[in-house]
Amino acid sequence: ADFTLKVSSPTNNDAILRWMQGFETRLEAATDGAIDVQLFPANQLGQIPATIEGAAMGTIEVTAPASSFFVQYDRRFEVLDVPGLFQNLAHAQATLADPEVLDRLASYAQDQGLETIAAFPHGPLGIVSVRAFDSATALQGQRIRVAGPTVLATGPLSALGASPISLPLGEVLPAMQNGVVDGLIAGLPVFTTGRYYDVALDLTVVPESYLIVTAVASSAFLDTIGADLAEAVRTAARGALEDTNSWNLGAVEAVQGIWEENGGRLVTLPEADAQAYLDAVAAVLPEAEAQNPALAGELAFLRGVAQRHAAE
Amino acid sequence: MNTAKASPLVSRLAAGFTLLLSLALIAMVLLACVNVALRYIWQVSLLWADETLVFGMIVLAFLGTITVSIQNRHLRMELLTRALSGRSAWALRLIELALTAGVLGFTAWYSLAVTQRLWTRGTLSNMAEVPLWLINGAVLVGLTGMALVALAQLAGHLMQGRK
Amino acid sequence: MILTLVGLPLLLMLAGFPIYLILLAAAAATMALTMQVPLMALHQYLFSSINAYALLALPFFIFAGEIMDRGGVAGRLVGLMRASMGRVPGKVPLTAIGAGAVFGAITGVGAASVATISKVMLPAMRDEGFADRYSGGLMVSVGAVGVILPPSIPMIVYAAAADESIPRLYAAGIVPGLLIVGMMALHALWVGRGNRGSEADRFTLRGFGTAFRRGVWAAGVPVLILGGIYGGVFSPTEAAAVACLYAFIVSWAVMREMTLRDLMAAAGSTVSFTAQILVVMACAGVFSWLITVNQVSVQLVALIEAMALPGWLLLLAINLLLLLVGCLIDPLSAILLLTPLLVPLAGAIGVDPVHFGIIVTVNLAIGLFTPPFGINLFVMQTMSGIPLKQIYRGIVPFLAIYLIALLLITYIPAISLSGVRLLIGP
Ligand code: NA
Ligand code: NA
Repeated sequence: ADFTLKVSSPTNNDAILRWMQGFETRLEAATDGAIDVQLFPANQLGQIPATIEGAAMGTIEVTAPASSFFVQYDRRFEVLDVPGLFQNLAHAQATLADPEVLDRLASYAQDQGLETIAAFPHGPLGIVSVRAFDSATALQGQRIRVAGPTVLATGPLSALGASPISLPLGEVLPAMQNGVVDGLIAGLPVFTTGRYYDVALDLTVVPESYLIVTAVASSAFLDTIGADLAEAVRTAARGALEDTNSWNLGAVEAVQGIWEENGGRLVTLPEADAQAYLDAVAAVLPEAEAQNPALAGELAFLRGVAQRHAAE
Repeated sequence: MNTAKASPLVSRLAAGFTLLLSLALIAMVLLACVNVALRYIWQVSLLWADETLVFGMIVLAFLGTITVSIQNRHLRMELLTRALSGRSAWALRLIELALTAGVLGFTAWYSLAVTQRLWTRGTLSNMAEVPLWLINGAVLVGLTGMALVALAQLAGHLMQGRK
Repeated sequence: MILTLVGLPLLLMLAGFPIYLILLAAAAATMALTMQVPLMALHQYLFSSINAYALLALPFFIFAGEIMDRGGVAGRLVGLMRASMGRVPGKVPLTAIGAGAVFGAITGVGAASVATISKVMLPAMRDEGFADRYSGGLMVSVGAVGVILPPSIPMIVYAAAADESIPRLYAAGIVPGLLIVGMMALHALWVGRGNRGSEADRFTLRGFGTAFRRGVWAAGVPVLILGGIYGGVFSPTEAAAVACLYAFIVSWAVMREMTLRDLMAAAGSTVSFTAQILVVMACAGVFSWLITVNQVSVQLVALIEAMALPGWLLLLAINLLLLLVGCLIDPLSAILLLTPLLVPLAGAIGVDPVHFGIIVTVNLAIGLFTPPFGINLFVMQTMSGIPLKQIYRGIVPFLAIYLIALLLITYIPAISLSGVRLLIGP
């Protein structure tokens, strides 16, 4: 092969791996072996921030973590953290796979040496807690580990009386065992691959909130390989979304099954409490928009596309 | 090792430098304790604390390593070299110092490139929102400092050898 | 690539060059001469391999050890321990083993426990006439038990990578961990045989009372660490910071054996020790990254697979591979790289994945205290000043103990699985 393309992801055996595999097959076939794709799941190439820096500098060719890790590279990425955009997983998939959305995402963070080549929902967000999240008031006084410091990540939890806690993901499980924290908010598959049912039973699906994965390529790499191969990379990345998304619909259900098989309980918030959660989100949105001037415009755009796919 | 002792001025600079880093370490300990107390007693968490502490450790490590170089206290395995005679020991040390300056200078060059890019792009860290060039710059300063120390030691070593 | 990735480091190692330089020179040469990757990666992996929360325990526990040493906490703890054990032969090494095992087990950070235990126990070992070589070997090896006895971060990572249950792995680690500790204790009794101490060492209630009054505040350090972690007040890393604060306040305000000047001296040493160790870790991280991207482990596993060995030989080969990889890269990276490749191999010859997890953990634990890059060795050397060469000699009997235990653990699944059956069920 003329070029090696290393793809990094933080997790394993999930939708991201599916995407990586689909991308590898398609790209290697399309370029007739000119590009050798190598997959490195499970943080083998380093922690997420390191892999993003690697992509920005051109030492890693593609990395595919949660979109929120890119907010420091371009504030517009924060739009993917806004809850209430999608009615369900299929709706999120259809909206994000829309070429108009993908083109727009590709324009983000260009000045940082990054180009988004694919986006898809990893799954609904959930909260696993030793003290259960079964009503809007149940979060009162709970210490919940969050993935980021932004208003959208912490605001809704704070509004419901929880304390957002920062802790490295690897330390969360022992910390829950000892009672240093009560729980965490994350994408559903994280809970089963991380075997959180070993320390807590209750898993609550957070209303209308999805963890979005963005696969981001190194601009330096795309520039190096020439226009034709770069186009092949983009095409393969989008094409792989088909395999990923159809597989993931079943997988997210399977995750909930695995949770219950291992003795866990799935908690569904009563309608009024789910609404209370979404109200808490709506209440922090103005603050998020005030802190991030780029947010409102992107939100209007994404809502427009989402509406179109809801009507279908 | 067989290099001349560092000059008094360098020693004092190193001591002042170590004092600053020591204060930073103590501040890190206090920050960790404050975060424990806030979380346990008041159920509040400084979301930026963990990342800040890790960054503090990185800065301590790479800046502290300059003093380690000055004092010749880097970890090494002396398996055979203790037995070497004066002349070959001198030559081996010469090679070591030249290689040190070369490898560190080489790495520092690319470290400069990374730091410069982070400076231009203005990227911030994820939790503490600290400029990344600042923290990465500690690596650059550390590597450069160590390379300079090696060069100075090389010069000293050559003069000592001529005598 | 073999020339720059293996030959060059070996050559520089024989020349006695600094370890960080060996790693960095080999990495730079490999990347510049044999790979297409931008050389900015050198900087990025120097930075990101120590950009890890788990490493933070290291400077904090080193600092705690320095404060305890300079402020008299360490001396009083040892006094209390000796007064309570009377003329038991080998009481000091036994205490070092016990303290190292408990401390390592609970914090799960073996290297950190080496930092603190060496400061507390080494002077006492010297008083009793034990050679530094023996003390060094003992402390670096007992520190590694911490990842075998629960809780254990490597086991959590293995559980995620192999899709296994964490409580089952924890339960499976207890008997193997205790087996190793027990073998070390027997060895200590044998080494200390005949050394029953003088008449003055005899246990007396009065002697114990005096030591207790002197040591009660000092005893607060381990009590605080263990209680705080179990009580859910703080994580092991935070425990180290709290221990620094507590030990200083007690030494300064209560025992009056420490001044602010002493504190600054302790901090200065800590910074120097931290830098010495972390610069090696940073360069080792670059090296580890090269092994990952060049898919060295994939090739090694394919090599073993191609040999089509019978079951017991395959297990032996896997152990050798794990020992080799454990010597070269850190345990967590090794688990991430090798678990997906090795679990199916082991499964094919009927090895229980929980049992296999313990085999992996014990192998990688050995890598923590064996040359060339065992982090416990570096911590021990910086904290005690004992030359690496002496520590290398000192680990020989303990390496033998671990290897015998590893063979037993590998070929007698019951050692691992009895704990699971007892605590969790079939
Ligand atoms: Na491939
Ligand atoms: Na442990």
